[in-house]
Amino acid sequence: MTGPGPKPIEVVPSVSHRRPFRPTIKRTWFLARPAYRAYALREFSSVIVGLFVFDLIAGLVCLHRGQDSWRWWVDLQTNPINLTLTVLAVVMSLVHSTTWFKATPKIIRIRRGVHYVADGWVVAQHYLLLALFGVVVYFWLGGL
Amino acid sequence: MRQWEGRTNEPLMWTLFGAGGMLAVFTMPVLVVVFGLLVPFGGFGGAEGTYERMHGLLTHPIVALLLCLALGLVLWHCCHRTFHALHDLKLHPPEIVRSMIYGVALLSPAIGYALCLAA
Repeated sequence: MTGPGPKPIEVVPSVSHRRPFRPTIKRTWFLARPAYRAYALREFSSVIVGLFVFDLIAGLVCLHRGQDSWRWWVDLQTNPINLTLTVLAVVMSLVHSTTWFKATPKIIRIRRGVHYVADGWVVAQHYLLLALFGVVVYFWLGGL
Repeated sequence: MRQWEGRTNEPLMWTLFGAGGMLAVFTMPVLVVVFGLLVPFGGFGGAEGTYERMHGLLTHPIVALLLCLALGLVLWHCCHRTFHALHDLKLHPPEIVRSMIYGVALLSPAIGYALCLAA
């Protein structure tokens, strides 16, 4: 019995004609939208804060070296370059802290009975801790 | 070293990163304002007043060690993010750059502490 069976599969040379869409991303992609800019600013803040940590380590070394050395370091902080870094560091450390505090309710979920502690309270706790550290430093240094 | 096959150091790196970040958010704004702005412009008794307060306590070897560790964690956090932000700039640097950036985070507080002890 012979019949028209299935045709043998034609073997074609494997030349792909697919043209997948590959979006090109510009190096300045993070300037495109407000959300991207906020992300980029937050990541950039770590560079500035890191530079200020070098300054603080230098200050600790100068404190060890005696009063003249410490005075030199304190005077160095009024140097225009250092002052520029400090002003940037004030802004950037606040950007870093506030954006993190804003994100904390996503991570910290505290259940009280059948409800969760409100997001605002979780955020407030963080601001409270920051303020507490400020108060401790203020009184430890003997007030302004 | 079969037992290390397929292992990653990411949990360790992430722990240090997280610890540094936690320290940074609670302390850095205060430290920047106090030591960057208030003390240099005469707050807290200026250089003399703060020296009287801090010398003796902060120059204790163990306190200085803890301070260097804390500052080192914050620096580690910053270096970690700086390195990973390079990818966002479409830079994919070789491993040596990673070693250098993390090396800075490890060595700076260590050298600082050594200088403190030598002073």
